[in-house]
Amino acid sequence: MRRNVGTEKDTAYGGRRRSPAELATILPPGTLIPDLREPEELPAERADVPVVLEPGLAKSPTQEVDRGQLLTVTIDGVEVRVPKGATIFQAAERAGYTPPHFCFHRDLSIPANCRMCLCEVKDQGKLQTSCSTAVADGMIVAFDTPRVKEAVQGVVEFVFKNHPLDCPVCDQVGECYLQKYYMEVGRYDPLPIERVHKDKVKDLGPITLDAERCVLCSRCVRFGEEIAGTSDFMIANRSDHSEIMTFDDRPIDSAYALNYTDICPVGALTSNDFRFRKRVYYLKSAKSVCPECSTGCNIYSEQSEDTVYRYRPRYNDQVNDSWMCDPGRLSHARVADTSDRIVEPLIRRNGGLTPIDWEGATAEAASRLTELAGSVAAIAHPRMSNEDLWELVRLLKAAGGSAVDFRADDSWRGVDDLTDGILIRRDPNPNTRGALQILSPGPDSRVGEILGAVAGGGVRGLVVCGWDVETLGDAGARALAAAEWVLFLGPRRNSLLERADLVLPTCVHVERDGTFTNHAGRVQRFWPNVPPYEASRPAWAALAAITAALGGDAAPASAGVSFRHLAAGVPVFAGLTHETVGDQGAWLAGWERDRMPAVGADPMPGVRAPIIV
Amino acid sequence: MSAPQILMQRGLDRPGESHRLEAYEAVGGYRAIRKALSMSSEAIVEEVKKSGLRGRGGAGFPTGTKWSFIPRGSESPTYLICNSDESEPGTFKDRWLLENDPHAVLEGMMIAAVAIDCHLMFNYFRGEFSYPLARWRAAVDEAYAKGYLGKGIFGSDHDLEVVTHYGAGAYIAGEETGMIESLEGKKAQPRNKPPFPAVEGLFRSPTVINNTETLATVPWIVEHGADAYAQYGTEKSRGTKLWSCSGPIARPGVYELEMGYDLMQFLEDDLGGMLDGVGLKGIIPGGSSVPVLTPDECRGAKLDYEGLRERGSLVGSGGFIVIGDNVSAVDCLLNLAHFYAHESCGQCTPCREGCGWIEQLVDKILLGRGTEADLAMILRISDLMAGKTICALADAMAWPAVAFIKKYPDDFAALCAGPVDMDALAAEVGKRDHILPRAS
Repeated sequence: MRRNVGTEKDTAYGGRRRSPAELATILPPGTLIPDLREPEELPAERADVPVVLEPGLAKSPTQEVDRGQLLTVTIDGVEVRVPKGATIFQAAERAGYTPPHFCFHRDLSIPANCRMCLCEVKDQGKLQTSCSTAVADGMIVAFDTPRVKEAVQGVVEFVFKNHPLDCPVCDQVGECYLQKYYMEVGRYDPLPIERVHKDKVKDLGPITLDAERCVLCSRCVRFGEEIAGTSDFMIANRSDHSEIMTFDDRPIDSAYALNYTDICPVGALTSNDFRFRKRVYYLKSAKSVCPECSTGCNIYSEQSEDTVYRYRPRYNDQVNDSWMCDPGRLSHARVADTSDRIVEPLIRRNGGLTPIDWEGATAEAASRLTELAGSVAAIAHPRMSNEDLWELVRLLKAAGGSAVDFRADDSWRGVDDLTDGILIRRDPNPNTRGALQILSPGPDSRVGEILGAVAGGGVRGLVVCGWDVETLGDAGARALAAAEWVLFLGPRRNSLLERADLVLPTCVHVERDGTFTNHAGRVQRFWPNVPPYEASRPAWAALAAITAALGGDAAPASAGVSFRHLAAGVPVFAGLTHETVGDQGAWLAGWERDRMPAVGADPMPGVRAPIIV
Repeated sequence: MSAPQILMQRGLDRPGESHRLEAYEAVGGYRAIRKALSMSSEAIVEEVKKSGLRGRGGAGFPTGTKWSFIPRGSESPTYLICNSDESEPGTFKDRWLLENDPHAVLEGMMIAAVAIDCHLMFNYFRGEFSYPLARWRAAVDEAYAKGYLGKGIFGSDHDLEVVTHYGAGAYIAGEETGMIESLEGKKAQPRNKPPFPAVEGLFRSPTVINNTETLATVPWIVEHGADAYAQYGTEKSRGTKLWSCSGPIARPGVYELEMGYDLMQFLEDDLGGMLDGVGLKGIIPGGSSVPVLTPDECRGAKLDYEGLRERGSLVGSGGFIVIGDNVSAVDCLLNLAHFYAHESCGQCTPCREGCGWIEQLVDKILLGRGTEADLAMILRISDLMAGKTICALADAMAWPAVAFIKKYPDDFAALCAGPVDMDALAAEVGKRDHILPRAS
């Protein structure tokens, strides 16, 4: 499921790309021709899945689209049909061409001030900005004309008039719109020009401002007003002394500050967390979902040499639009931190934990569970994926146990609570909704009951996923002391390892594939970005192997197969597969929504590009 | 004097007191608004349409037509803005009106407000207009004291308030949507059109913005009738217009002329000709934004919308700038470029960077370091600016730049460092002069 909304791709620079061969004829001999990053391809397994265009879900309160009325527009000779209310820019995207642009952003109002997306419209004298001009039936539009090309080349030249030629030391290289456009339409004859000097390297807390590099597209100003609601940036002064700045150069105090660095098309706003850590063209991306709260913002996880360097938001108009919060974004550091990761499976022998291989660990778990003969309960964790939870349910069933819950603390109560009116929810777990649906454990937590049963000797074995002793509290301590056998699954060491009889290391989300279900019941898929840490395995795989060893069904070959079983076993997941969930997610049965409100603090932003399908 | 005194009679007749309500009423002031209140709003709009009055701020858009764009029975309130942000270099006609005849402006605003069913109107003053502002405020106070403003004006059921706002000195606040932004408390940056102000203007409500002079003309039209007004002027340019004249001329000042008046006759007879010892180099007829006319082009030119357009220039705001032959065209252009480079709002890339760039290049030429390539660059930059931005400020920089180089190439060549191939320069001009206004 892919929506054609505003710019189709997340890193859509637009413009035509000059081939390296063409560039070689323009650039001085021996010049290294940079490989500008293109938008990520879909993972191979999705490539043959047909692209389904769903009826769009209108959400912009400012501009209505009449889907019933399709207009025919010709863009550079290509005829496309778009709903009434769409812009020329959107029609051009339909026709396979993204006009070059700085100021236009699909989730912000349209100022039409950069003048890059100009086009010629038949029978109109002046060039028009395609981002702000609505289509009319029969309109004939051309981007590929000498007049348009000269104008766009002129804008690039104008921008360079006061832009420093400091690409070698600029951290935006590789994802810079200006660099990209210059490669395509630049004149390659730098003129000796006196530049207007503006401030460089202003530290604004989470981000650094380099006013000289700014192209004054005003995206940051609009983001601050319309989305974050903090109005951090303004454009001070006039004419070529215009400059973005915060009031009194004060640091930015916003939980959304790093979005400024995403939307800045050039190197004017860069992230203090990421700048100079890695050139972006060395990064490999995977589509993922932020695991830091129940909103489940869609993200890219980006790594180099198996270290995750950053997360950045991935467009999803049902969840996060183009945004994510800073705490979520900065959680990449937690993933990159392996200091407390469990390296390999561990078994308690002679009072201490010693390494054991996976076959041994699986066999051990199976034999102990057989001995327990059904006297086993489990405490799951809302950071586990849908597949993990399903395999846990299957394991308990195979082992004859039944009692399971995941609500060891109260965080699940905040699953729907939007704390800041924008994106951050009180529940810090990505899959509380999934756990509530898959484990269907009733309206109140049964964890106390489970721990009580273990402490009282009624249940002899306990499976704990991720939780530590402190969270389980006194009841937990009593249960752990009384339990005959404790199995721990989790990616990281914690106090529970002191008591566990068997420890199975599991992968964090960027090391594996799977799905989370967000607060609103949208099932969302994530893909692996880095290999599993040392011997760790996805929890679903570890659990399914034990189930198989117990004599249950064979372990599923992949998370996708496990998910298919889940869909067959849990009614609200009926009909879903990893393929249909895709990279934009899918609703649980009965949770469908027609309309998700646009993300942002301003209820009445200016006119944005309408959602056309 | 050659023309009917529709706009200037009162001010000239009773200097020093014409700004007072008493003096204004003594010569028939505030009769037109009483008449207007007895007419239907459609009838007022029709009357103004019929008079052929066109906007005096620069664009020359028919005033009655502009009013008729206001949707009837709109749920949002309707606003009227009087544009007194007169900042165009060479233009000072509105200042004269506001100082000497503020009640005419106020009455014009009242009539317009009645015509478009507006109950809150604004007069946006240029920040530097402290003296006209004082006179205006006094006039508003007088009107309120007499019950001409406020609840039920002139005993009618029409409530009308006026807000006086003065800017912080930005030329671009004189652009109508820039003015709206400024009134809303934001930076004066023009908006994209559509939507036009008549549909979505101030506070997202239907809004009419008229120039001070336009509004000051309205009472006369309503009182004497459209036909009386339409008798003056030419077929397409009706009535009279104020011209604010400056330069090395014998009698600079503000003049009211019937549309279609002969330019050279105006210069020689009314303005008293050039000062002794100074020859005519050129005339910028409509304020700094419009292309300059050479003496040849001036001869036989008519001062009206079509007449000046036919000569490749515009009426603009009526800032009649006479240039003597003792100054270089390079100096003139630098002066203008400096102004536009300072006043560009900085929103659109071509204007923001282009105005400053042109100033830099002209400065370089004036300092004797320029070359033929720099002249070609100025022409190219102008071409890349004109018509490619949200408002017309880029054009206002580009037109004079191309016009000055086209019409006075020798002045530029003389100051360039190296030799200038005049034929090549003419060819460059030929490539770029399509941006200049021409007869429609």
